Amino acid sequence: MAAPRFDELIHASTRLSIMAMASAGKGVEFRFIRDELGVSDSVLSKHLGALEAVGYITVHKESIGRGWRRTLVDITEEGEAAFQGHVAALDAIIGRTERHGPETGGQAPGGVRGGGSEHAGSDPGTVPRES
Amino acid sequence: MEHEQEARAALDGVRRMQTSVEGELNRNRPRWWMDILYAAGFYTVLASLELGTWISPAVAGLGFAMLFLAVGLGILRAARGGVRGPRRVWTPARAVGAAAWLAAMFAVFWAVRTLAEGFLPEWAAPVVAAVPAAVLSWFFVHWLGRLGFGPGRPAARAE
Repeated sequence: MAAPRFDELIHASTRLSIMAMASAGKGVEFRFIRDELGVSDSVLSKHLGALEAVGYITVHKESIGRGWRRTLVDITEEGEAAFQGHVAALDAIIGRTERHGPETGGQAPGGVRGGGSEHAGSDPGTVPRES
Repeated sequence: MEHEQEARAALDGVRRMQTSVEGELNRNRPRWWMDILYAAGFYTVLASLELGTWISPAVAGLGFAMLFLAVGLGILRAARGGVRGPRRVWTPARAVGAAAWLAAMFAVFWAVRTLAEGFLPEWAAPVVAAVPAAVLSWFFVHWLGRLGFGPGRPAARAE
């Protein structure tokens, strides 16, 4: 199991969904992601660009004959590690609350602090949020 | 509490997206008759071994054509989907498993053929021995399908 590491960049709902799909499948098509998320091409492109810029995913085009091309998204090893770490951090947040009760504060196991955006960049290696 | 709810919602979203990917893979898995075509091709190739100088190559060619057609159609069908495949299909254990399947198929063929040669004409022994090997090949290709597309066939409405 990956060490918990909260990652602000992929915590945004759309990016987390993209990472989840890319982690589950190899060569996930742009069109499939767009339809699943119900977002426009431009919005998805922006999120993919942000994830690609930090090396979490690769985006490449593939010819499927007769001049047709499709865009495929693959997660990188670095992206997979960040995604698994983030999922572990989310699990840790839930585990912390279940152990301490719903109104208890404190720090999550593995040095993970909270789940909200106000904790951006609180852990070593945390990627800052992009607009 | 707020953080916990946010974390739960995020994890639910992750699971939902992963289920979507699995569903997409499952929708585009090879149809059942492609597995049958593969096994039939495998049977035809093995059964052709002792059919004579001219007949054997022709029948074996037909068998290989069926094998390649089954694989090609499966690849074409899978390529229509929005996901090319699951990640990390081939682990060392699975590669060993695939080799064991292949070894088992040929071992069964060889053993049954050896036994059948005592009772049947030379040309007929491979024809009989190919039956259990072909059944094993169906299980083999079904296993490969589970690795590549997940368990289970798509629901009727998704066909």
